[in-house]
Amino acid sequence: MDTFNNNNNLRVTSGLENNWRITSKWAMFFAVIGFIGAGLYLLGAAAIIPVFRMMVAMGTLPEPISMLLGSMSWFFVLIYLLAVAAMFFLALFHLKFSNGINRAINFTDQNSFEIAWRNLRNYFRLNGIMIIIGIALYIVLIAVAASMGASAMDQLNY
Amino acid sequence: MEDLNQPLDAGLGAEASDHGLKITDEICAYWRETANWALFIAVLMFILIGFIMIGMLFGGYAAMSEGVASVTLILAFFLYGLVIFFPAWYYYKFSTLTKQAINFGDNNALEDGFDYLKRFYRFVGILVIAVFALYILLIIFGISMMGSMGRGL
Repeated sequence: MDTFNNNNNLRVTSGLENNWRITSKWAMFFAVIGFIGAGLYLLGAAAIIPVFRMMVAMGTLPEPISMLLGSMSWFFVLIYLLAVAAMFFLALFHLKFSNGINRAINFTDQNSFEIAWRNLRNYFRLNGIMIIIGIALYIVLIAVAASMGASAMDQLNY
Repeated sequence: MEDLNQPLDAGLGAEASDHGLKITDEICAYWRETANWALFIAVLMFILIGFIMIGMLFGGYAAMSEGVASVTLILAFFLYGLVIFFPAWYYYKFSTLTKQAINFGDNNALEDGFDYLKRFYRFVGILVIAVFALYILLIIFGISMMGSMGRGL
């Protein structure tokens, strides 16, 4: 059972501090990369609608897909921006974790210590939720593609 | 005179630091939730490795029947699986050891658990650096190829 709690014996050791310090350095590295990536993806958002319009104008796409791209381009932009926002927050949580751990160890700051672990928890939670949403989106896309394929097959048969 | 009024385990195992940082119930709750999410991600990664292994078997078999370089294909799939296996294992160990530490007050398990988290971060960080380096090399290679083609024209 996970509800049994006995943390009286748990204490912060020099080995733990060393591990946390190294982990926080890598977390800072990921935070910097995450911020740069989120910025670049945000710039890329401006190109989504023109690219969709160009793809529709070329006329090489099947009719249902070009209709979908034409009518729901704002929906795709919204999903893209949500993904960029998630990327930004993941980087922010890593940054706060890294700063919190460093401040906690260097200045024996209990408040920073708790904030750091809350931010690492937030990072893992957001990461997990994004993975669940990603898998759900995949399943929806597969279902949509299968239904479109089935309807196309029906049209061919009649 | 040596101080004899010490607990029996003084100086043994993990050294307590001089810091006054406390592991509170709130922090334990954060760790527990972090460990649960880590286990979830690790399980998904193990499932992905399973899919990769299935792909390796089918892809290798198909390539063998087509007569193309099946060993290269199998090796590529295997490497892909291996690259995902290590982070998945580190997350799994971090999760189980941290939960054990919280449930039974086991400080050694706590140290081992966070050691695995550190290993995870280090592994993925080095992987990211390696991929970036590869990208840069490919860009340099591409530019030099374009330059030599331009001179050839």
